Formats: sequence, structure tokens, C-alpha cells
Amino acid sequence: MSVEITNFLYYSIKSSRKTSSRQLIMKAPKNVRKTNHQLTEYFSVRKSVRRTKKQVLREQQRHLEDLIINEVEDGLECRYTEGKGRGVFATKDFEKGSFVVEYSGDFISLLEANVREEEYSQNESTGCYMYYFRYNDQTFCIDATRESGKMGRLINHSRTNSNLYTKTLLVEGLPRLVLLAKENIKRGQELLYDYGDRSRESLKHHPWLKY
Amino acid sequence: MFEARLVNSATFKKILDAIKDLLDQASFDCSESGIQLQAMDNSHVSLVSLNLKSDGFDKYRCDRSLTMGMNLASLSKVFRCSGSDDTVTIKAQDDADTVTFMFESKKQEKISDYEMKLMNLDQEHLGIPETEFSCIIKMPSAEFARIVRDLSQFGESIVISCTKEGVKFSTQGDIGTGNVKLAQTNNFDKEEESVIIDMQEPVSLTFACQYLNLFTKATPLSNQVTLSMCDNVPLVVEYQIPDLGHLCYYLAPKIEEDEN
Repeated sequence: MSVEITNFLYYSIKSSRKTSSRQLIMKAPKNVRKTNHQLTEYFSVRKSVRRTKKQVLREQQRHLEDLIINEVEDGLECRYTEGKGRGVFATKDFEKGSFVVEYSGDFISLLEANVREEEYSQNESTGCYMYYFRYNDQTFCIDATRESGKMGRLINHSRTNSNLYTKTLLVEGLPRLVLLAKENIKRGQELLYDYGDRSRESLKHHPWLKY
Repeated sequence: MFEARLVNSATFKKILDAIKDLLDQASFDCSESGIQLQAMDNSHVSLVSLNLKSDGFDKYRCDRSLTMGMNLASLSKVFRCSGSDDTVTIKAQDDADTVTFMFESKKQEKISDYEMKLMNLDQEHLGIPETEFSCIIKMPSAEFARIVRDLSQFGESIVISCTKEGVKFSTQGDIGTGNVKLAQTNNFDKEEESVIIDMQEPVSLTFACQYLNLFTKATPLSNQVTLSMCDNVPLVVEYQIPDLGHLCYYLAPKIEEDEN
């Protein structure tokens, strides 16, 4: 009886061994490892996500707004020149169309501007720093007469050799004036824009407006 | 302003169910032509590409192209609140940071709306080249789901082999092997029940079950599924959404690593 049992046990151990060895055999082909590839190996990632023209314009507008809000005045230097007084020179290159500086001052209505104009005309030494512009069919004025330390107000006039142009931009609900590069500007060049004032009265007082 | 109205909100729910297990979040790109979504799963092994035509909607208005990044789990929660017969209207302002879903019951006696926050997702778009596939298999979607489910019990991957005679799905695992062969249907009485194979040359590719199983979540969208295969190119599993567009899944194959 006992012999039979040992016999049985012997067999059972043997058979369990057998299965384990069979499992090993079955696992053998798994040595050939299959790895999953990634889709990016087949399809290229589009680096430039295409944007519509509108989106590009909106982004540019936003960029300009940021520059204005942060009062950026990079790459500018105020120098004294013979005959013209103070002028602004570029200390870095400006690409065509890029933001140069804001013409910042008090944003006032035409009515208020007339009152101030009267006031300023009493004093001969006051320069002309009033910039009139139309926005939404209404005339407004940026008055930069006050010495603010801002560069925009110090840029000289040139009718024929201007390298900047002005643009009106609505920032946080108020129209603002920015000066943009009309052409590629090299460092060292003086920044100039056309004041646009052609009235006889102004020309009489400021003959340099003609050039 | 963006507004899209779909009388059958259940369709959108089905689409969502078909992608939400694969993707955590995704951007819906809305334009005049419709809504598109393209996103890879986290492991970058599979890709979902959804295209819904504007004509397929009952009302569609998109003044400006906009991208709405959404958390799909949150979106599922919103759609869980809709009834099966409800009409859904999706609305967003230009440059908005929220999107509104309005559900109207059939008789208009109940109107609910949910506003969901949008996310700014920085997602990579993949350029998918036009491919001449070696084999294009059209088969009942339920059959495909069944085969994938059955075989994934046995192994981690499924080999799909396509010849002129038919298509064979096979798997191999610790307990053994499994094979399912489908012959091309000769009788074309019922197109949605037939297996149609368009083959240029035989092809055999291996894919991970895990992903195939997730793709079959799209089964309720369509009676038929199309599998397009080509050597060394991801598998394309396509479900047509009747009158609205299509949902495509791309899956990179498993490739034997060179032992040397």
C-alpha cells in the first residue's frame, strides 16, 4: 500500500516537472520580442500649425498692445544735434514695419486741445508737441508738450526723408499713436517722421516743416 | 461666434464614447467646413482623427476658425446629462474660454444648458500622407469588435493577415493560440453584412490588442468598419458616421526587433 503511494507521489512530482518544462518550451518563441512602434515614426509632426491671416493679424495687434502697455522704448537714444536741438537716434536695427516707439502724451479732445494751444502760444519757447489725428471720424489730439522723458515726443520732422510712419491703435479702449519703421533702419540713423502739418499758419512759425 | 446644432445628440455621445478612453483631452478645431479633431494617445502609438462636416449639422455657423481644447472626461459628464432623444446645440464666442452645450428635449418642455471651461492645449498635429494600401477590408463592425474581444483574451497582440481568399486574425499567448478566418462574401445581397476585400498584395501585420479594443468602442456609430493595411505603415480603422463624417483610428504596428 505504502509503496503504491510513494509510486503515486513519484509520478505526480515527475508529471509536474514535465508541465513546467513544457511551459518553458512554449515561452521560448516569446524571446522574439515585438515592440510597438510609435505613430510619429510614420507621420511627421507639423511644426508650423497653419494660422489664418486674421489670426496672424490679431497676434500682431496683441504684440503691439503689449509693447505699448509695457512702454517699451528699446534701441533709442536722445542726442543733441546742431540746428535741430534734440533728436532721436536708433541704437539697434529696426526691421521694416516693426514697432519703434509710442508717441505718448495726454489724450485730449479737440476742444481741450484748442484751449491748450492758446495757452502754449503765449510762451514762444514752447515747442510743438501736439499731434492731431482722426479716429472714428472724430479729431483727437495727443499732447506731449509736458517734459515726460518719453522718446516719442522728441523725434524730429522730415517730410522727404522720414523713416517712420504713424498708426492709430485702440488699446484698452483708448486710441494710441505708435511710430513704426517705414523701411529697414540701421543703428545710428536718426529717426524721422512726417509731422503732416501743412497749414500756412504753422509754416509761418516753423518753416522747417516744409522739408 | 460658433454655433452647431445636432438634432440627434446621441450621435455625439457615441463619438465621445469612442474616443474618451483613448484620449484624456483633445482640441476640437472648428472652421467653416466643420469640426475636426486630431490627437494621439499618451503613448503616441495610436491616433484619432475625427471629421464632422458642417453640412451634417442641422444648423452650423462658424464666423471665425477656433480651437476648443476640452477635457474629454468632463465633456462626457456633460453629455451624460443629456437624454437620448435630445437635441444638442454647441455654442462658443470668438476667443471664448468656455463652451456651452444646450440640450432640448423632443417636445421642448425641458431645456438644460451646461457651460464648460476650455483648455489651452499645446498639441502636435501630424501630417498624414496619402497611402496606397495593399489591402482594404470592409466588414461588419460588430464582427470586428467580437473577434478582437475574443482574441485579446489569449494574447497581447493580434496578427492580421490578408490574402485573396480572406482575412485571418490570429493571436498567441501563454495558454495557446487562436485563429479566426473570414472568407470574402460571395453574396452581396446585404452589403452591411458582407466582408469585402480589396487586395493589391497580401499583407500580414501585428497590432496590440489593447488599442484595437479601444477602437471598437466606435462600433455603435456604424454597421461597417474599414481596415486599411500596408507594410510598414500604420493600420487605419475607419468608421463612417452616417451623414455627418467619419472617425478614423491609426495604429502603429508591432515590429519584431532585430535580434542582432
